[in-house]
Amino acid sequence: MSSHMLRSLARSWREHTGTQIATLVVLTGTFTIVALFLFAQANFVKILTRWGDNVQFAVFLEDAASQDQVSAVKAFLENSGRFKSVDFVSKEKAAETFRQQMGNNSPELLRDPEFGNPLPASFEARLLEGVDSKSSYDVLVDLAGRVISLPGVNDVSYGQGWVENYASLLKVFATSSWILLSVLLAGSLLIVGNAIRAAVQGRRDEIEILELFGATSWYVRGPLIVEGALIGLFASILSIGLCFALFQWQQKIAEENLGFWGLAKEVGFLSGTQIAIVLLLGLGFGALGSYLSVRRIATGWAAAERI
Amino acid sequence: MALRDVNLTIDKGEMAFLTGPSGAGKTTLFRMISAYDRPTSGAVSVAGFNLANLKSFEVPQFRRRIGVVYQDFRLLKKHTIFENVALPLEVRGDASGIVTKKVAEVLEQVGLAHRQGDKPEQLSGGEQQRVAIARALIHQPAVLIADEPTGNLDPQLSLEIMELFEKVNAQGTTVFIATHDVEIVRRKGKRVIEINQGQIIRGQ
Repeated sequence: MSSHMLRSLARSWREHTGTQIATLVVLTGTFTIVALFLFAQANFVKILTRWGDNVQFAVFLEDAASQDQVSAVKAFLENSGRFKSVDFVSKEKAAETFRQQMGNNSPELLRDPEFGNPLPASFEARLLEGVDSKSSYDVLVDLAGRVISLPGVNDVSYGQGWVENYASLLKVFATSSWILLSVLLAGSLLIVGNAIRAAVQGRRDEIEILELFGATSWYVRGPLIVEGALIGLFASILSIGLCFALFQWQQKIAEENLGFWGLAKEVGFLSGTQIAIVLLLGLGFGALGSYLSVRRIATGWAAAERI
Repeated sequence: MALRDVNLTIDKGEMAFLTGPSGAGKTTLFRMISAYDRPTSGAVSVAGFNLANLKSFEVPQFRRRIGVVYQDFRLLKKHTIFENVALPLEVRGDASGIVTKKVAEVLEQVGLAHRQGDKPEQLSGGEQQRVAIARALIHQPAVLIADEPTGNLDPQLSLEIMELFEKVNAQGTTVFIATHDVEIVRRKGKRVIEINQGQIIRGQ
């Protein structure tokens, strides 16, 4: 960085301290929301994915299904490459489980000699990968369609309604995140732009004199663009610090009050890549906002009149 | 139309005055030849640059070839005298050692070597004008253009400033001064170009 640039930056901070601090505060708030969004998105997806891991894929067999048909269904499920375990549940086992689960609520049921067994034999399969997106949900639907067409299969259940809502929720969250991020980042351009515009107005005479003595466009604009970039970078550093403090605080609350959900272990802070993204966004949007407000100054001819 | 049918040549190394009443077009002509405004038609050639066709990126190159002195000095109020005078060298990226040496030399030339660390507001009008001249000379321009350089000064200071311009001219720099101070013009005995209502009426 040249001495001209350093002097220009120092002078700008000295002469517009109030504006600079106000910009830094507003921008820090903006980037904190951006960082929190990245944080929330990563952890929301992580938590939902964990819940998605627990999706059970159940294949109910017809009572009249032959042993060959049952074996064929099992082989199909195992060879699909979509499941980490495929367990056969006989009619008797299903009834036993049902009695155990419902026994406390209905003791008469256990004593009823007439109680038949309406429950079918089934396969219970656990998914190899959880449902973490609309596309993985679509794969599950396609698989269910192929399984139900197999001979001997009566029905397939994978919590259709729940999984569908869950996949939609993921999609809505991702879409709304991007929309909100776009709005916030566009706002950050305006915030930086206004701060730099104020600096330019305050230095109008200086800029004109610089031009009259042969300063090039970039000699005039360079320090202002670097100033915007530095404000953006400082704001993003502060926002990550603020975000980390909020993270520590919520971790404590999650452990103390919601420990039974195990959220504290699930939720993690921003990754190195995400931190780098926030810093680059701060730097880039600071520079871009600044550039957009100075692109019309120092264009050569009577440039000062166009400020 | 501020200027019309103006046809004027000033030779290399010449010193000339531009005079005329207020509103005659002196400042407009001055702004044209210092690449502050672009002519709407015709040709303006200064120090090898055709200003009518000058591209935006060439404007700084041209301004580095000329030295300009303004009536209102146009000094940077928050900068020191050193920083003001160093400006033309700073914008072209000269090394700090060279800048320091040349600023000292040119301030010595205008008699202000001892005021390097002061701010413009600490100087009198005459001293500020000398700082402006030092700034216009430091990069050894081919042409020195001055717009009413003695407009804010008393007669004695005006004479001193004019003597300074003569010294610069004696070193080979073309000097062109716009002024309405008829007395000074008369005493110097240099070429006088008179302008009125946008047209040159004498000294073409």
